[in-house]
Amino acid sequence: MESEVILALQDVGKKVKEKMILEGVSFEVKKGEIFGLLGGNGAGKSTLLRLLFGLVLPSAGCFYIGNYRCPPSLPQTRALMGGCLDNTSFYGNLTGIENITLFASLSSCYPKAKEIEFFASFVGLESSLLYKKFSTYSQGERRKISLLHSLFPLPRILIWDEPWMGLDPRGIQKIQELVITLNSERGVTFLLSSPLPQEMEKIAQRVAILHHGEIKWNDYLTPRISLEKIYGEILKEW
Amino acid sequence: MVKVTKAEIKKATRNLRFYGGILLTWALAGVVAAQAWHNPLSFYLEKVTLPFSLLYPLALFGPVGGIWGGTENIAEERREGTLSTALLRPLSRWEWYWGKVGFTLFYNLLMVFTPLLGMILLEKIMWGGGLSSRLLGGGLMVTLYISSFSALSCFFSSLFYRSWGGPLLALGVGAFSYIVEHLGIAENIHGYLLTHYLSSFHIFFLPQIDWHQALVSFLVLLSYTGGAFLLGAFIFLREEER
Repeated sequence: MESEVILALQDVGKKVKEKMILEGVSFEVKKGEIFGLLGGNGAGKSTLLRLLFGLVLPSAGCFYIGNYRCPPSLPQTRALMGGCLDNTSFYGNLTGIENITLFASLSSCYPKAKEIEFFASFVGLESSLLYKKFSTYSQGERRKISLLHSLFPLPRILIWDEPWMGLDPRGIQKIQELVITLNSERGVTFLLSSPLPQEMEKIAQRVAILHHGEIKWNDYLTPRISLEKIYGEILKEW
Repeated sequence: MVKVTKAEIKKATRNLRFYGGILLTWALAGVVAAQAWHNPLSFYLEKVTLPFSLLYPLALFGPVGGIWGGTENIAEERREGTLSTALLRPLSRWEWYWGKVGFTLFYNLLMVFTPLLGMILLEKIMWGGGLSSRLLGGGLMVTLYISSFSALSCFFSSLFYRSWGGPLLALGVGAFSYIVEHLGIAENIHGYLLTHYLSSFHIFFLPQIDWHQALVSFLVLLSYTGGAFLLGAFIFLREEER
């Protein structure tokens, strides 16, 4: 029996100042899946993910999140999703934990400090760092706070744009372990974007390759498929 | 909407800049209090109450704090990138915008009424007296006057996307109406100019309150405030976060 589709894009296009950033993008993400969106810089990954949150509007096509059709982007659809985008930013004068509780309160979620500290260890963040002002964080620490904030409340779909950007190999490994744990134990569906095929290959079950705003390849990963090779061929061909 | 206003209050209390506008109005109250302390007889003989003496400087300088509040609403959040973070949450743009407006109005009330209450207390200590409905009316009129600047700043911030547009253009509207009125040109539009209502709180301290004039002042200031906030909301709703 086919799994339930939780996110579906139908011919989504985005034009900015006469330039097509996305064109005819269609794919589906099934419930409980780890779906990867692979593409280089300027491929349109971030625009696509911003579009899912209603931060930008599609010029063509539509998408479904759960049973809701977008646009219009509805608060109900965002209640199903948690996100960390490329430019997710926080208040510099507040501590990490204050930022997390502040933004979580906008989702009517009021996590206790202990809960946040507990999850912080899973993104490789020492709990003492949570009590430092956001403006004092390094790039990697900022990234970890962004990822951590999207876990409160724990949504049905987590959309992370380049989650390992700015992280060291140990940090990347921690995040990958967290993705696998949340997916297998809590059934969280993931939509992850990255320009790194070798990192994507380690965790994604299915991958779509976005190049120049178009989906060039979309399939399940098997041990016989080398994502790096496919991606390399697409880059050469186009 | 209430969620946004609550979060805004929580955030603001941890921000030193939040106290800037309130400190400004308290500093004005300090000047008035020092004058009264230095020469209490003239205040007493002229039957000028301390809170009343504070309302004019509040109306004159308060718009600076009001404009700052209006700019923080959208332009600052955009510049910092925190607006996009908030909009990842299950909030509509409409809800977010009006939540911020709610906080701005609350902030303007704090800016006006906290030093005003301080003055009332000081006057009670010096000569007796207390809170009157006239003071409340005057205070609300000044709050509305300051809020109209906040609303203009918020509207221009929505329109021009960047943080400089809001405060500069809101100040520009204030300067334009002040100059037009004081040069005595285009007299038929004076009644619609914003700074024409700078001293509208005065109506509440006349021996006989002119209710018609009070209503006109209230409606003009409400139109500026409500109109600018509404226009800002419609522009904000149609925008994208790049």
